[in-house]
This record gives sequence, structure tokens and C-alpha cells, in this order.
Amino acid sequence: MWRTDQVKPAPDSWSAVFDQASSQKGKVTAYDSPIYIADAGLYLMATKPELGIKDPYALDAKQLAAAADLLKAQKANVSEYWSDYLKEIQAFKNGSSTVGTTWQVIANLAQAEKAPVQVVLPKEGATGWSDTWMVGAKSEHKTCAYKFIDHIVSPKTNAAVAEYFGEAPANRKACAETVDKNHCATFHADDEEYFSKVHYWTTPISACLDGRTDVACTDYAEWTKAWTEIRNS
Amino acid sequence: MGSKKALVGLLTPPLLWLVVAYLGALAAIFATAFFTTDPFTNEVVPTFTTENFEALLSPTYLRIIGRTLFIAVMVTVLCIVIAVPFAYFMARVAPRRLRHLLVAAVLVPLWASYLVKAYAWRTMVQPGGVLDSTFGTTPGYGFAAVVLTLTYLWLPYMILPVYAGFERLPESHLEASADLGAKGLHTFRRVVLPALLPSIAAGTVFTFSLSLGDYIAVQIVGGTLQVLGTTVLQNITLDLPFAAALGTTSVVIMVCLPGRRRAHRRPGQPVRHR
Repeated sequence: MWRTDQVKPAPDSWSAVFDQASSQKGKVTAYDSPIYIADAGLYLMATKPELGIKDPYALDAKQLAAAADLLKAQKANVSEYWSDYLKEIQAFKNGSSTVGTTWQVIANLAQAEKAPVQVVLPKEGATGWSDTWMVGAKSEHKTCAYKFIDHIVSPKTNAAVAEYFGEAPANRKACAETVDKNHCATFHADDEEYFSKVHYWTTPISACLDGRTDVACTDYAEWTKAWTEIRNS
Repeated sequence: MGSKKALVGLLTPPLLWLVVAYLGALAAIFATAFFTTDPFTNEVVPTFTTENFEALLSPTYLRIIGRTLFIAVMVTVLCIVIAVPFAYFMARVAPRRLRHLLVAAVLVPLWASYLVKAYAWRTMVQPGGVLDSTFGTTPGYGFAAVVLTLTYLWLPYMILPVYAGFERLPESHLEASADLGAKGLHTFRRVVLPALLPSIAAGTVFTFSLSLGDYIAVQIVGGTLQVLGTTVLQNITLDLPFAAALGTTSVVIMVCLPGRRRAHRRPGQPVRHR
């Protein structure tokens, strides 16, 4: 997301918040979580092929260090890290943040509040996550549990959940059931090309998720420690 | 016998509350700090290890602890500097009716939600906010904004005990000091301040410990700043033992605080006027 009146030309790459972040010095924002390291990994995957990153969630120690260095360099240009969407909307409205990562729903709300902002899926792709419903494996009422799943994935309910939460529905038929008829278009729900560029959150574990067996990858606890170091660099 | 039973009945519930809910929780945090987590499930594994505490000694975490301590000290000093003259005015100078009004004015902010007040400061320090338009400059989000916000939030907790301290201070002591030829500043240093120390200490416990543990105001006005509280929050879901070790440090700091204070007072015992 960026402020259309302050960031020109319109960015189309992650470089806007990494290599070219200094043009918005002190106005860059980033999501405050260790998983944000994956965004840096994604950028390095496209710009530093010699690092050999195949999956932003499977970083060995060297790749993690490279991502951490990138984020430490970014920090000099960061105004604040956001974790709640109210804070991000307000920062973009008052101009203390002008460019940074966001969620579609935050951009929608900011635009509804007349903030001059736009969003783009960077050409390198993006990270994302899909919310899932779970039922207890040891449920005493298994039929009820299955009935619940049937209910929650049904087009009408799925549409209601997606609209309430601000996300793309998983059930294609839900798009016909949304109150806002543009909901699926806004969230690119029917756009397979769009989602082919989204790397879904997979919690990093020591066994490399990209299939490498010659090295150990860094797990999420290491990411958390790295994130703390980045935040305090 | 009957009254003894009644006493036991009266004291047992609050004591249980104190021991189980307060001390028990602290003990649980301390014990958890020696555990580790399963790398795959992130569940707590109760095997004894000191590596969480060893990790705390790395420069990153020492800097976080140092920064948090510095914020707490700054907030406390600012609160004292503001509260002492204010409380003096309230207790000694202001006429009776104004005094009640001032006490109410100090208390009123406590009725408003913490979040509302923190967000109010967020809009005040933002570029183009009230500070910017009034003074032509604003500290923006960061260290200064955190100290300002926390000072604002905890000031009543300093003013009230200091005000009570000033009220307890007998007028005759000030008169005696003046009769013996002490000037205003001298009286303040030798008579007023020693008598006020317990009140300031009481206020300090509030402002210091509340600043030490705060993590919400820091997230709202802190910009890129990270403190002990936000670090605990960052670790709590995935590495509970490490979060517990981090949390233990603030407890240790608080336990050390009154100890140091008492040690400091001994050599220069305040003169007692009896």
C-alpha cells in the first residue's frame, strides 16, 4: 500500500520498501511479526538468485541472515511496525507512513476513510495466508462436527464469513452470495493468476520445506529471535 | 474461640487469593522460565535448562532491558518533578474548595480508558497533530512519545501519595525551620524532602513498575521502539519459557528496587522532629 500523493511513480516491486526505501525515509511501515522475514526472503528470491532461495518459508542459516540484513537496513527507514489495522490506517491517513505491507481489507478501509492510498501485488509476488476451520479430532459428536464443516463452507456462510473478516472466500459459489456484489472482485477471489503469485504461510521448521536435505533450515523460534534482533538493531 | 474462627474465615479467602493467584502465578512464571519448547509443536517441554536466562545475556536483550529501565527511570523522574510542586500547591497553597477540585481533576483521567488516552497521544504527536501545530515540532513516534505518554498515564499515581505526604507534614515543622533561619530551598531539602520520601517511594513503585511492564502504549506511540513488554508479547505464543524468562527480569528489577532504596536511606537518616 502506498500514498498516491507522496510515492511517485507508483511502485510495482518490493524494492519500494527495501532497496529504494530511503526515498521514503522514516515513512516506511512493515508488519510486526517474525513471519515478515518471509517477505524479505521473497524479495531476495527474485533479486539475489545466488542465495538459492526457492521458498520464502524455507531459509537455511545463511539465507535467514541475508534476509535479516535486508530488514535491518530497512529499519533505518521505518516509521513504525504495525500489528493492528487501526494503527496502520491512521498512520497512512496522517502521512506518518507512506509505503509498506498491508492487507486488502486495510486498504479498503483506508480508502473508505478517504485516505489517498493504492495497493498492488508486487511483481515478485507476495506472502499471504489462508484461514482454516478446525474441528477436534476427538470430538464426541463427530456427525455434528461434520455438519458444522458443511455449514461453514456452504456458499452462504462462507460468503458471510469472508465479508465479515475481509478476505476472499474459499468456496467459488460464495461469490454469488455476498452482500457487496464486488466483494470477490475486490479480493481477487476469481483471479487464479493473482493467487498463483501468493506464497502461503507455512510455519518454518528445521526440515527444509523446499525439499533440500543437505542443509537444515531455520525454524520459527529462530525466526522469532532474528526478528527481535532486527527490531533492536 | 468463635471470634478466632470468624477471623480465620475472614482472612482465608484473601490470603488464598494472594498466595495462589499472585505468588502462585509468579512461581509458575519463574519455573516455566527453566523449561524449553518442542521445536515442531512449540509446546512447553518441562526439562530443566538455563539457556533462556543465558539468552537474556546477549547484547540484544541486555539492550532491551536497559532501554526499558531507562524509560521507567525517565517516566518516574518526570512524574516526581511534576508531582511535587503540584501536590505542594494542592495541599499547602490552594484554598479548600480549589483543593477538592484539583483532587478531582487528578482523578478524572483515571476514569478514562487507557487505550483512549494512548490513542489520544498518538494523534497528538503525529505529524500535523496538536504538538506540531502548537509548537511547530513534534517528537513523532518513538522514545520521547513513549516517555510522554507513560508520564501522562501514571502521573496521578505519583501525585496522590505525594499529596497525602504534604498533607501529613505538620505546619509547625516548616515554621520551626523558618524560625531557625533556614531559607526556602534549605527547608525543602532538609525538612520537606525527607518527610516526603516515603510518599515518593510509594509513587515510584507505581510509576516505575507500570512503565517497566507496559507494552500497549509502546505499540501505539513507540514507532520502531521495542521494550521488555513487547518482547514478551512477541515470544509468548511460540516460546513461552523464553517469554517467562523475560518476564522474570522485570520482577527481579522490582524486587531489587525497594531494597536499594532502603539501603540508601540509612546513612543520611532524616532528622526526626518529635
